[in-house]
Amino acid sequence: MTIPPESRRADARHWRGARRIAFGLTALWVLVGFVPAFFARELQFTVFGVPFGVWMAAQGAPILFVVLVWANERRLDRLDREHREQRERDGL
Amino acid sequence: MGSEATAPSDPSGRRTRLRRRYSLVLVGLAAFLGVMFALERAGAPHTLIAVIFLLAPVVLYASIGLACRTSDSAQYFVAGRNVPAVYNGMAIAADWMSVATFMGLAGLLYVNGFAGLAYVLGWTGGFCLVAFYVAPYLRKSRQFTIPDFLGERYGGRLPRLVGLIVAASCSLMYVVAQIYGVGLITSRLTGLSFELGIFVGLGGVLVCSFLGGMRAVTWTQVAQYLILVVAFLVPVVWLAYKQTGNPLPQAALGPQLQKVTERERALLDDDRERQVAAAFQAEADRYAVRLQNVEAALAEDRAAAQRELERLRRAGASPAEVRAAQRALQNLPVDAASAREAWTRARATALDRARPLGGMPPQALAYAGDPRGDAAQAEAFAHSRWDFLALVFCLMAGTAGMPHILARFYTTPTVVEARRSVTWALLFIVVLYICAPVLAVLLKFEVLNSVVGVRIDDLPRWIGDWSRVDPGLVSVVDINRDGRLQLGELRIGGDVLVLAAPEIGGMPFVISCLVAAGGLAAALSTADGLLLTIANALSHDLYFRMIDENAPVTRRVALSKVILLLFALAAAWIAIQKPAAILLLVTPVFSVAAATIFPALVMGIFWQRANRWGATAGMAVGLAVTLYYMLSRQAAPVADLWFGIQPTSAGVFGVPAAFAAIAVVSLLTRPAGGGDFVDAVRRPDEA
Repeated sequence: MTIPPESRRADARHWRGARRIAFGLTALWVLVGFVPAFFARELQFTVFGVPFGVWMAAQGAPILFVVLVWANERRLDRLDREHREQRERDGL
Repeated sequence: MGSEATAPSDPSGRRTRLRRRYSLVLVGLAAFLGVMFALERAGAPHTLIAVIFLLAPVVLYASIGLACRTSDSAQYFVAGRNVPAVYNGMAIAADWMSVATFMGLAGLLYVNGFAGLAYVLGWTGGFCLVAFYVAPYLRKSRQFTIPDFLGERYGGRLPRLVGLIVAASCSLMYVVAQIYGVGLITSRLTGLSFELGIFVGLGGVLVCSFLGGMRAVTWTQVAQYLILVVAFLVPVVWLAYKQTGNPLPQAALGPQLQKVTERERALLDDDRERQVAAAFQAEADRYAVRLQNVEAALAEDRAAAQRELERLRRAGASPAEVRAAQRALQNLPVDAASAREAWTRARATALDRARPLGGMPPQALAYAGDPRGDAAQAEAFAHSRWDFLALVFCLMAGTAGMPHILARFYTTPTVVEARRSVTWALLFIVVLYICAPVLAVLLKFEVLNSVVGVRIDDLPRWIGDWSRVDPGLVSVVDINRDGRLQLGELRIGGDVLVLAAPEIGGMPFVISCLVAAGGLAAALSTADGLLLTIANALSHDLYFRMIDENAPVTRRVALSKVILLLFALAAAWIAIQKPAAILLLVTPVFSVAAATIFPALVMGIFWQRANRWGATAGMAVGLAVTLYYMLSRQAAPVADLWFGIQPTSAGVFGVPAAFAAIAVVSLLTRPAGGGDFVDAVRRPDEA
C-alpha cells in the first residue's frame, strides 16, 4: 500500500500537535500534582479554612486533574477534526 | 446489557435502555435501604439484616453475570468493543477503587495525616498519564491485552513474554489483597469464619467473570460502582451534617480540621497524655533492658510464670484463672530468637505510642520534622518530603501501567470514546477520593471529642465490639490507671476505620451493613478485573499467540475460564495464609508496574526507534532495580535508605532506569521495524 505524500504530511502534523498537547499538559500536571505538595510546609495560607498545601493535595489537585484530562480530550478531539478537514482539502 | 449488547446498529435505543436499567439499580438500592431500615426498626436480629445485605448484592452481580454469559471471543475478551464512554468510566472506576481505596485510604489518612494524601494524589493523578500517553493509542491498536500490544509493537516473543510475566504477577499480588478484604468484610459482617467468608465472596467473583468474561464483568462493575460510591458517601455526608449542619463534606473540611487542630494542641499540652507517653516510654525501656540479655530474661519470665501457676493451684483458684496462667506460660516465646523478635517488635510499638498524640502526626501538618530545626529535624523533614513525592510518583506511573485498568480501554467503540471514558472514570473516582480526607478528619473529630477523656467504663460500644473481634484492630489500655481514656491509650488500626465509621458516628446498623456491602463491591469488582486480566493474558498471549496459533476460539475462551478458576483458588489460598495491612500489600505492585509496563508502552508509542531488545532490556532493568531496592531495604535502618525513600516506592528509581535502558539498548542495536504499527496507532480514527 502506498500512502500519498499529502496524507503523510497531514499525519505528521497531527502527531506533532498530539505530542505538543501531551507535553504541555504534562507540565501543568507537574505544576498541579507536585509543586504545591513540595512546598506544603511553606504554603501556610488557608483555602476554605485548610492550609493551602494540604487543601491542594486533598481536594484541589484531584479536581484539577479531572480538568486536565477533560482538556486533553477536548484538544485532541479538535486536533482530529482539523486533521479530517485538512484531508478533505487535500482531496483524500 | 443482554443480547442487545451485540447489536451496535441501534446505539441510541441501547443507551436509553442502559440508562433505564442502572437508574433501576439506584432506585432499587434506595428501596432496599428503606426496607432494611424498617426491618431494623421492627427489631429484626442484626445477623439476619447482615446476611441479607451480604447476599442481595452477590445475587445481583451473579444475575448480571448470568445474563451476560458468552463464549464469543470478542465479547469475552473485550466486551464486543461497544461499551459507551460513561459506562466504561464507571467500570474503570469500580475496577480501580479496590478495598485499599475503600477501606484503607480514609484509615490511613486518619492515622498518618498528610502522608496519606500521597495516595489521594497518586491514585487520581495517574489518570492524567493514562489519558495523555496511553489510553487513546491502546484503543487504536485494536489488540486484546497489554502483552499483546507489546508483542505487536515490538515483534518477537521476548517483549510479549516479559510483559506477560509482569502483568500476571502484578495482578496476582494485587488480587490477593482484594480477596483478603473480601474475607475480612464477610467474616466481620456475618460472623462466618475468615476462610469461609473468602469462599463465599469468591463465588460472587467467579460467577461473573467465569460465565461472561469482560462483558459480564463490565456490566457488573457499573452496578458495583453505583453501590460502592453510595456506600462511601452516605457516612461522610451523615457525619458532615451531624457535626456542622451542612451535608456537603467539602464545606465541613475546613472548620472541622481547625477544631481537630485546636484539640490536638490542647492534647499536646495535657498532663495525663504526658503520663501515658512516659508509661509507654518506660515499657519500651523495660524491653530494651531485656533485649540486652534475652536468654536470662526469658528464663526469668518462664520461672515467674511457673511460680504464678503453682501459687494459683495451691491457693485453689478457679479453673478459669488456672487456665489463663497456663496459657500465659505457653504463650511465652519458645526460644531466644523468637523472644528477641517479639520483644523488638513490642519495643518499637511502645516507642511509637510514647510519641505525642499516640504516635499520630497532627492532622494538618505537612511532613515530619522541621526544616528550621536542628540537623536531625531538618533531615527528617527532607526525607519525609522526598518519600512523599516518590510515593506519589510511583502510584501515578503505576496507574498508567496497571494491566487491568489499561485493558478496559480496549472495550470502547472508538478512540474518541476511549479518551472520553478516561475523563468520566477520573470524575467518578475523584468524587470518592476527595471525600476520603474529609471522612478522616470528621472521624478524628468524633474520636477526639466523644471518646478521649471519657471514663473507661463509659466508652462507646463500638470500641468493645471491635476489640473483641481482633485486639489488633482496636485496643484500649488504661496504662496510667486514671480511669479515663487518653488518646495515647487508644489504638485504632487504619483498615477498620471505614467499616467502623457508622458506629463511631452513631448511625443505624443498616448503614454499617451498607458500608460493608460497598467494601465488598470494591473488592469484588477489582478482583474480577484482575483475574480476567491474568486469565486473558495466559490464554491469549501465552497459549494462542506463543504456543498454538491455530487454536480455535472456543478453546481459547474455555482455557481462559479454567485459568481464571485456578488463579482465583490460588489467590484465595495465599490470602488465607498471609494477612497483612491492605495498603502494604498493594503499594509495591504499583512500583513494579510503573517500572516495567509503563516505560515500555510509552516508549513504544512516542519513540519510533525503540525496538524489541530495548523494550525487553528496559522492562528487565526496571524490574531488577525496583526489586533490588525493595528487597535489600526491606528491614534496613533509615540511614541506608536513599533520600529516605521507603522500599515500597522503589519504582522511583526503577522508572528512570527502565526509560534509560530502553533508549540506550535500542540505540545500540539495529532498528527493528514496528514503524507501520506506530504510524497506525498515532493516526486518528477515520470517522
